[in-house]
Amino acid sequence: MSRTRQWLELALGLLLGLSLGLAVAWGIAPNARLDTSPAALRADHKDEYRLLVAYAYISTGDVGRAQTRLALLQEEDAAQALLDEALRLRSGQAQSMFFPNDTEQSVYALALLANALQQSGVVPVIEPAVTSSPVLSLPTATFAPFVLVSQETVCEADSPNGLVRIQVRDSAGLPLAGVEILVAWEGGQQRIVTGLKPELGNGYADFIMSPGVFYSVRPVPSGAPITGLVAPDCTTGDETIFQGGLLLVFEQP
Amino acid sequence: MSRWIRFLLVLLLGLAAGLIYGWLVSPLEYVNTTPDILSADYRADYVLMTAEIYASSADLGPAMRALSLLSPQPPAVTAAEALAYAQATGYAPADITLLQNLTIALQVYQPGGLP
Repeated sequence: MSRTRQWLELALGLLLGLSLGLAVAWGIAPNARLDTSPAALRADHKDEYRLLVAYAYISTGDVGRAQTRLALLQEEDAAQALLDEALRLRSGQAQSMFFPNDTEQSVYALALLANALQQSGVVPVIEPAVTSSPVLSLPTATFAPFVLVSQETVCEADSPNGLVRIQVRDSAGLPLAGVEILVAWEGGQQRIVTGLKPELGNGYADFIMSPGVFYSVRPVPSGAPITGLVAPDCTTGDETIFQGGLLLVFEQP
Repeated sequence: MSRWIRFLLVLLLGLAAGLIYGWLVSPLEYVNTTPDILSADYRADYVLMTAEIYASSADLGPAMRALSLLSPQPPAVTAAEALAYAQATGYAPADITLLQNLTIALQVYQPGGLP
């Protein structure tokens, strides 16, 4: 028998053994431990996991623990993942199995935690690199008070009547997502959260005013509300009157 | 050495190499899993999250729904297992208290379906 043929037989035997070994190791008797981490969860279970983390954060105020838990998902940008999920919930693209009747509360929880992560400086999505010591030791996410730095009337006939646009920024002028804003009027109130329309900016939130109704607006961590807000009358080029809107800008001092 | 013995030897060598690679170097990894195959420490933390939520909301619904995904056992049993794990591995007393409260609440809950 030729030497070449001998080598071919040996190579064939080696390849056959290797294939057999891999078939056993990956197919017949895999060594995969049935002890997985949250990173291996299916996308919908990751959504529920994030919601649990967010609700638990609201319960405990422990942003460090929330960060640790979210890190287990091994996502590049945990805060953005929270905001994306909030948007999916709000738009109806996703629904929580754990909190099926609390969509608004779930959106709020996710946005609040996203903001807390951004505030902590550990997830640098919006803010520049933190040069001072990050506030990781704080037991709860905290916001400095916000002050109204600008209030403008907006007369745009193609915008919804009575639209109030709100921009919330930090002390460096960067938009802040997840800031809760209390909108109140006689006989009612509503909570809105910045960052749920990221195409309009992370610090953006809005609501519609009814004609003739006076509103007050207050970013929840700040002090006094901005009162007496009412939809202004605007006129088009052909003297048609319509309800305009407002642009409010809040900033941390 | 006969050619068949040589062939058998290299076959066994290849088999061993394949097993070592597939079991040790690059073992199979599960993706897109469900919570019921989370490892014990992650399961315990999962239950702890529901306990934290229950502590502030007093609503057993989310906890029962979440725990039903962790195990086919009744939620009270799943919570009790997490409590045992937490006690065995030295969780903080406050966390153990939260797990105890959830476990007790689930044990005394009279189910008529998930709330």
